[in-house]
Amino acid sequence: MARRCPVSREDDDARAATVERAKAGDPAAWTELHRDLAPAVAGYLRLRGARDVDDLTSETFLGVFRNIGGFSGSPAQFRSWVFVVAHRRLQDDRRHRFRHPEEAVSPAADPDGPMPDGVVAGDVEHDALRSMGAAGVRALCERLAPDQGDVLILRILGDLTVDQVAEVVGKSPGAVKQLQRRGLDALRRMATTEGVPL
Amino acid sequence: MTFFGDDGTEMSIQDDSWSDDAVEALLSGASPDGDLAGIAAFVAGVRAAAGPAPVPSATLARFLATGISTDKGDLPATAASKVHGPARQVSGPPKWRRLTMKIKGYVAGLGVAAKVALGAGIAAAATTGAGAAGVLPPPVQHAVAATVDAVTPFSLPDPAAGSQAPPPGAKEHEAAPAPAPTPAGPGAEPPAPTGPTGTPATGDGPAPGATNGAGLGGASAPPAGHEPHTEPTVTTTTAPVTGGGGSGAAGEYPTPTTTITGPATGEHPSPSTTTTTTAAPTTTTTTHTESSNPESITLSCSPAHDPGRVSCSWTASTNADHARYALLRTDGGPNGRVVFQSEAGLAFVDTTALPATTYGYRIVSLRADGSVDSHSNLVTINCC
Repeated sequence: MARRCPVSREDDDARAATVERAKAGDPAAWTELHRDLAPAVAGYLRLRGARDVDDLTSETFLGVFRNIGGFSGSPAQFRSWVFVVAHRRLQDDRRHRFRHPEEAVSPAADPDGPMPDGVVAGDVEHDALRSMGAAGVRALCERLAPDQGDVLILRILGDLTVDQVAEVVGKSPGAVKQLQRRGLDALRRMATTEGVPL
Repeated sequence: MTFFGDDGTEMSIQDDSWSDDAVEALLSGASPDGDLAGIAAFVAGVRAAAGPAPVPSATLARFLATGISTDKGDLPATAASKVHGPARQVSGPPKWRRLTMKIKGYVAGLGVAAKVALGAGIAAAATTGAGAAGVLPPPVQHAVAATVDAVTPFSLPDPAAGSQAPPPGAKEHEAAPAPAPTPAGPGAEPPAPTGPTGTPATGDGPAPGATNGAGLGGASAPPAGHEPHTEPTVTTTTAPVTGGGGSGAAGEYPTPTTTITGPATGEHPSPSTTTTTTAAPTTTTTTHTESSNPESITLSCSPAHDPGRVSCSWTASTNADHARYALLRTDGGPNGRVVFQSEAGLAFVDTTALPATTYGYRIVSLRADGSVDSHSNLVTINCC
């Protein structure tokens, strides 16, 4: 299946070079990769109900950087690999939450989050608009079956293909297709019959 | 718990309405009308959920800053993680080479304009990185200490600072007068900072008339002296203190002053000699901060996803007389301007940074009377 967001050859080459530099231990390359991928990874974790998004995102990248020496593949494969790591961290987080429900935090509580004392959040208007949309999105995500939500968010936010998502969630491409269909269907019904705010 | 879509019978019918193309179009952000408009809005909302890059944890920040991974776990190589005791002798050459290469890479990676603009600042940053790793020989550490202070605004009384011009040559290489006389070959370079060594008293003043800036250049020069590099634009440095602060390493280095004073330096004249008494890093700070209880704060900054935003976070000060933090920013000069103050805040998003500008950030811990208690590493960042 073709990528939804085809990248130019130059971009691909540049990314491949960045990954190689990261493998060689170049901190600038690590920073670059973190900057490129952390927003999507954090968004995925956030929408999938992670408790401490920032922490889990950092854990994800620590895992990636610690093992990057053993990675070989294209930039697209690197991207999916990062999400594989993120997905595993998320599953660990879910297991922990299941065992310690008392520690559970409302997913709505951390997204834009309590920031440390005195922190300036920046463009207030922009943040407000973003969080309003985020609240609606989170409400829908919470009502989707977990595996459907995983698949849809990975496809949309992770910008991954069906095959890549299959790799991340450990299912066959056919199963992923089925899950995304069901997820979309569920969303359609929620949006049309229940008027879930978006 | 029942979720939408869990109803198998219903789904088997619904599934037929989705072709692969329709799914791809929707997930790609197509904006259909009718009952699919809600899904399109959802897709758009999901995409928007990828806000700015989250603030990295302290551990990750150190990773991003040093780029040096160890086999010992998550911790990057710092004085504390790599060294077990003050007297430990570490074979210098290999480690030296690795680090100096990295340091040179940092500095050389910057455009000429950036070098000129940041002048001493950049040089200091590069050197501090090594200092943090605890591998610089005492003499160099001394110089590092000086430079660190030099770029630490509040503690910058230095009157001689008249000639801020050091970066006329712009290139750190030239900036360092003393280091040039490096006796040994490349491998020896690092310790080369014979300038300070030879003249303990002058210490950071390999260039007498030189101001802080010059001092900085001097300190960093040796590493830069190597081959040219083309690399990163973002230079982050862990404070010389990082290790110490992080793990009470300070306690391990009882005789800080010794390293700084001339005598000690003399012991490490040649590169070959295994230097690295990590006492250095901690020490350095001691001498130069007004604080009687110097302590390190680790600062990390990264450009946020949005243009013009820089996210900074730092470790808490453990000094008893800490009253508040002040985040200083400089766009090249030796003196920073306070962009944020807080008693207990450990993070700040600077929304006033201009794109395509290189900034230096440093956090300082102030006492109630406004004097500097301790400070962090200098982080130079190319915004955004």
